[in-house]
Amino acid sequence: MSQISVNKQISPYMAFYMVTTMQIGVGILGFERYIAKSAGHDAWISVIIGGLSFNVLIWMIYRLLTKENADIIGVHRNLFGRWIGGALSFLLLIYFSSTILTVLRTYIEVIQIWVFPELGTPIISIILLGLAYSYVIGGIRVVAGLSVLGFFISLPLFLLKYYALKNAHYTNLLPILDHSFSELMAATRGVTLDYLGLELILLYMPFLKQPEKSQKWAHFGNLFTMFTYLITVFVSFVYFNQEQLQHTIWATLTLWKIVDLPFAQRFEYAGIALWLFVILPNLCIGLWSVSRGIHRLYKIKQKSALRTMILVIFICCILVVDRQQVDILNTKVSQIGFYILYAYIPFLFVIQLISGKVRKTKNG
Amino acid sequence: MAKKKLLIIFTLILLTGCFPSKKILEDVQLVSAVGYDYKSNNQVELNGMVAIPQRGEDIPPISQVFTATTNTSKMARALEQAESPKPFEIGRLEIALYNNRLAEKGIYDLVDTLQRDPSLGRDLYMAIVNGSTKTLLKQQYPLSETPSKYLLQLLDQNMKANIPKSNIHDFLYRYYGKGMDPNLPLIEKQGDRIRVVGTALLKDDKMVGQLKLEDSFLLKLLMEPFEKGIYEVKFKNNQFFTIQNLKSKVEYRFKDVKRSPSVDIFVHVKGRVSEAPKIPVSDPSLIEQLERATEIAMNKRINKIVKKLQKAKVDTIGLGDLARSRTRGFDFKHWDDQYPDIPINVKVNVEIIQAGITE
Repeated sequence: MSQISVNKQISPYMAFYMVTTMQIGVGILGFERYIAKSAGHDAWISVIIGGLSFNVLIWMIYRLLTKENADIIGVHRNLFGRWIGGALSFLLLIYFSSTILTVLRTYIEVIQIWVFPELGTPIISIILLGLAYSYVIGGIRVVAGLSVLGFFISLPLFLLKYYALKNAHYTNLLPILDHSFSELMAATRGVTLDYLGLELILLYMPFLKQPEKSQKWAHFGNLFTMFTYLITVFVSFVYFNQEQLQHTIWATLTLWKIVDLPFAQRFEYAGIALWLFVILPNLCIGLWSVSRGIHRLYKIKQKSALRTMILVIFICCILVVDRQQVDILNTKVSQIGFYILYAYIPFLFVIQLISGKVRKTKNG
Repeated sequence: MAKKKLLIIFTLILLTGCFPSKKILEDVQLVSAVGYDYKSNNQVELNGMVAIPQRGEDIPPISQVFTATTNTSKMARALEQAESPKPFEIGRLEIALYNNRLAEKGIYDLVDTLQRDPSLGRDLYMAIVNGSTKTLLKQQYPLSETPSKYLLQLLDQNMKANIPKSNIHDFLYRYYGKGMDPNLPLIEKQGDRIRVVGTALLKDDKMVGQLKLEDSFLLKLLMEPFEKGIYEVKFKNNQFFTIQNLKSKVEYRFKDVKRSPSVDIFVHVKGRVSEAPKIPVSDPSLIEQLERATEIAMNKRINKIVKKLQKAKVDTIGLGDLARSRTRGFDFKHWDDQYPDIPINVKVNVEIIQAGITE
């Protein structure tokens, strides 16, 4: 991987922003309902368990990639050879593309339901994808810069939680640990879906200067995400009760409704617009990484790979029509993501350990 | 390159046709209050109050009421449209009123259409009206520019002092939540005034009882800490004095929730004597007597209210939810079965800390 010139690389601390912006996407707008389904008011414990388990996964990913000094495509090639490795990489890229599609389509749904009911999917997707294209074409440095921008623009949205806390029922969180271990684990499984997104590091890691140094930042990024989710879950749980939460599709968005500023009565419209700065870096990092992956795999120019991808995503985006389909898309993609992170990455890790030993004995 | 640019510009021009239509404030009718009246078993009369701004400065808006009868509330809005010169927008809706007969049948379906609409806020007030909501909304009140503004200020003011807080969020919170039941303010039109007459007690979404205004104050003491409100107490030989609540606090204690539960509720009121004709309030021993008299009077009344709630099987205070938050493995069914017979003891503790500026 030494062929990447320094002026195309990004600083190690950028891993912090790229990890959090990829993790926090559309899920946070309404994930409370899903995790509360199994563990009720104790679901915040699952948020912590899920977040910590992802730290282990980050450690594995870094071990996996730094040992081979390559991205996931290189690792696949080294471990499984050109054909099987190529096929695995291809499947992985398809998964990554579908996560981009999910984020895009869900955000479009939010816009359509909350702001512009009569605005068609094609229009919004053309605008969003066009915008994303114009950033991605600028390269990884522009994309990383965008994620920093998005991070700081969305940070003040935390302050809005204050309005919900004025109306809080703190007893909703009691008694602590009133659910069984299996219920907590079921909720943990649900919450891991919201931590997905950091696995793109598999593709962009070679672009981080001194990857070893960036590992600590990736961990911090993941912990920041955990902290964000924890606050979100706490506030939603004390504002809504459990039964009411099950009737609320977008708990966080509904919370923005109670914001009462002297100059703006309906803050959620501004909030949804601001959320573009969370979604856009998300799309851009995804598009950049996958187009880079295609370029590495098939020796196609990254630019043309990007264009084809955008076209395919655009078409798929239009094909998803109603709420049920968006919901199915979300569940399926996150289920696959769950297995990729919790089964496939540990599997690769073990394979690498074994093959490393085999190689050593051969050489020795 | 030039061709490409032209193509892009051309597509952008084509796109404009797909953008949503604009909504301009002057071109829509903002509905600020809705009232639902009982018509027949499956029909509801919907009254929408619209404030129409007048030309010129300092001229108050005129209010108009549009009425339609149908089965579902959205349909009714469509029917009203036939009379209105401009399309309705309910994004600025401030209050929803429900006729008492309708409330006895259940109002959830009507509230649901409101909560489903993303353009509506969470601080919408709701109230139950004794009598027709139509006549209430049609009246011009000298106290305020439009009925909706009047209602808004009236409820806002009363929820600080006399009646439990309740907006659409609180209603839904208590409707969906287990171990609690909603309450709504009860209002009535009296001539050219609107009066808060008490609190409507609801079981699920049906009105099953009501409390007078004085009792609503006591119910509020049981439900939430607050800083206002006045209560009148009878003293020796037909003398009356009023006590103003400066700060109230409530504490709950549950015993043996799993088998045979009992509840103790402690209410602490810090107040001042605001009216005491013929009673020399500067006397410290007398202050103590007034405190005791208030405690006895409030205790008696509050325990009656609690009995009434238990008899009607409504948990307006939300004791079930409080019990849940203090018990591991709480069983709602068991609690609900026992609720009417649970011994609930309320103890009021009154502390008079001032008696005004004269002696």
